[in-house]
Amino acid sequence: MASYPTVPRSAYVLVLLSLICPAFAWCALGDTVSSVEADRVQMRGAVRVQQVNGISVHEISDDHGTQVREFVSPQGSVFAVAWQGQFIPDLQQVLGKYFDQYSEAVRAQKASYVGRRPINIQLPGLVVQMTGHMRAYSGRAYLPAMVPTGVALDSIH
Amino acid sequence: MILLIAGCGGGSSSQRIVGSVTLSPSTAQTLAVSQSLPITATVANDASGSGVSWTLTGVGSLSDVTTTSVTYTAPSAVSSSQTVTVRATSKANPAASATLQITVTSGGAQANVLSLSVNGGPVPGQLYANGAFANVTLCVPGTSNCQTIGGVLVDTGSFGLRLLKSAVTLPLAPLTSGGSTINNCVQFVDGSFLWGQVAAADVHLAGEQASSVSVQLIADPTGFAIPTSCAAGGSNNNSLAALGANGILGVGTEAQDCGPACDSSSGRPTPPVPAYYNCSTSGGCQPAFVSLAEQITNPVVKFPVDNNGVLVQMQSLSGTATTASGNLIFGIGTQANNALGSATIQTLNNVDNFTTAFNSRTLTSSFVDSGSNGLFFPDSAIATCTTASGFFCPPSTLHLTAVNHGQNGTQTNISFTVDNAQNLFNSNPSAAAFSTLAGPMSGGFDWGLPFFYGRNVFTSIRGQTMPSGAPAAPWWAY
Repeated sequence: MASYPTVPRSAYVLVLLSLICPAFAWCALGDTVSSVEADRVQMRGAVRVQQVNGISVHEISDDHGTQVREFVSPQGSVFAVAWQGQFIPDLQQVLGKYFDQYSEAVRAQKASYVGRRPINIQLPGLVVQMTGHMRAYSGRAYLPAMVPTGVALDSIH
Repeated sequence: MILLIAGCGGGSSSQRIVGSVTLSPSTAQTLAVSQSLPITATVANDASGSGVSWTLTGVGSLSDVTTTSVTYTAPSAVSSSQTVTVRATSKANPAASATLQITVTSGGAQANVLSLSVNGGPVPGQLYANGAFANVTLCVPGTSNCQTIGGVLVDTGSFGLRLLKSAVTLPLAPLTSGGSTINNCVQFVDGSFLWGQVAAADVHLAGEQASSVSVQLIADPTGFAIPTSCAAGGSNNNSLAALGANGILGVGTEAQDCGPACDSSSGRPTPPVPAYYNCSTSGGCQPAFVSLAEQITNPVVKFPVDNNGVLVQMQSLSGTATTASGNLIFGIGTQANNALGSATIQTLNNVDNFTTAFNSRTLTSSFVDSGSNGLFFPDSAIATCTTASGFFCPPSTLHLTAVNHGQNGTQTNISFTVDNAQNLFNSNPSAAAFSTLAGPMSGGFDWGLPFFYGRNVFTSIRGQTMPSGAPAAPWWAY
């Protein structure tokens, strides 16, 4: 994924977070994040955090090179998640309580006309989009109502 | 002094040795492609009447096998004349055998050309738009026990052959590791996954033959519950109705579906998921490393010749048609019919993408893919369809352009047309081929099947030998 041109290198901070989330490697879409001092938290991959205009982006890379980015609003809500790598991450974990809505929309897209085409779900309350081919997948999911004003949708990737 | 004649129970020197084999015809033969030749064997002094067993070394197949006769059939095409050997071995005396040499001459249909048909697919009542389908022949490895399966989607965006187990009648043994069966899971960008055993098969495509190739036999159930790491978040395409095809023939830019990431020599602490699993009744399915040689393999790299890539030639198409046709030609610069000519080569990055400039945006995750059934790209200014989900529905026809850039600096200008997909489907309810079908995709430009109509599109395979003067693979050229 492209780096954020407005973020100086000094803004990259290795932060150890205790997350108010299920005990997965990352928070799901729509969850609330709180950063807490002190204890090391064992996570499955290194966490990097960037701060851009009050939005924090938590980037996690696992053993297999899959990167997941969580976009967190100033209020601490995960309003978007993006991923990139050879393997698509577990979307039940990534989409959390939005997974069922996503599954239903996928079923509807495939039922409308048969044929392999990239997932592009655009519902008023949920957007999920995927791109790529074997060995190189990327995608994103966001909650339109929770995207803070001033954040360009193009920057979610 | 008594003269002992080996193998004899006695008798004069004019008597044949027990078990010696003679064939008819007995002298070397020449056949054209697709011709058949009946062969008979006679075993001298074959008191038990057990006759012979037959073996074939080389291309073609044996059928109508008995202990005294067989029919040899030449393949439908050969890239150059080839000589094969048919051997008959006495069952009573395995040391006795006879051979017949047969030369198969080239000519007629070319060995490296596989017909493609955009015909709506093999599922009754289902119209698969812009899917290019072909016939694939599978054989039990090392035998002439073969089966031809039609309705297989040709996909330059994936790697390896996957077939519905329900469509395969051959007894193909799954690959094993220790006491476990190796299974594979793969996901696609349409939100689907495929699950099934990995098995070895000989794969014959047109006149090209690949021996002992790992393929996926798609099934649900396989005898093992699909691991959650495979199914989680995906829709199950493990059936004819869901997949829309009898299988997928992945002939893209890589030799294996997973590659180094799934090989233990990668040094990774754990095998990646979802990919390969070792499945056993006691242990269920556990993520596993699988060597490159055993991974699901792009059959092209296992051909003895014409193994460095493919050329897809689709007919020109403006607008829509009931069907469209073309060819999948094996090899790049290896035969008279697959020379690069004036095609522009565009090399790719380490994840097999190039760059497309479109609408003042630089899309660095762009790619060419016959397995996508439209052109897919980001353009928030184009209306999307409400019913035909995943396609564009502009109020009127759009004429657009983009520029593709290879890593090697070459550049091509591509003009393309986008029509209202819902109108296309409504006005052409029996059509399978659409040159102006497109839809939204975030983050890159997917040059799907419409890009191929009227073009020669070459896809080269990483690690294979390229024609003289061409850069290292992977690249596309057109």
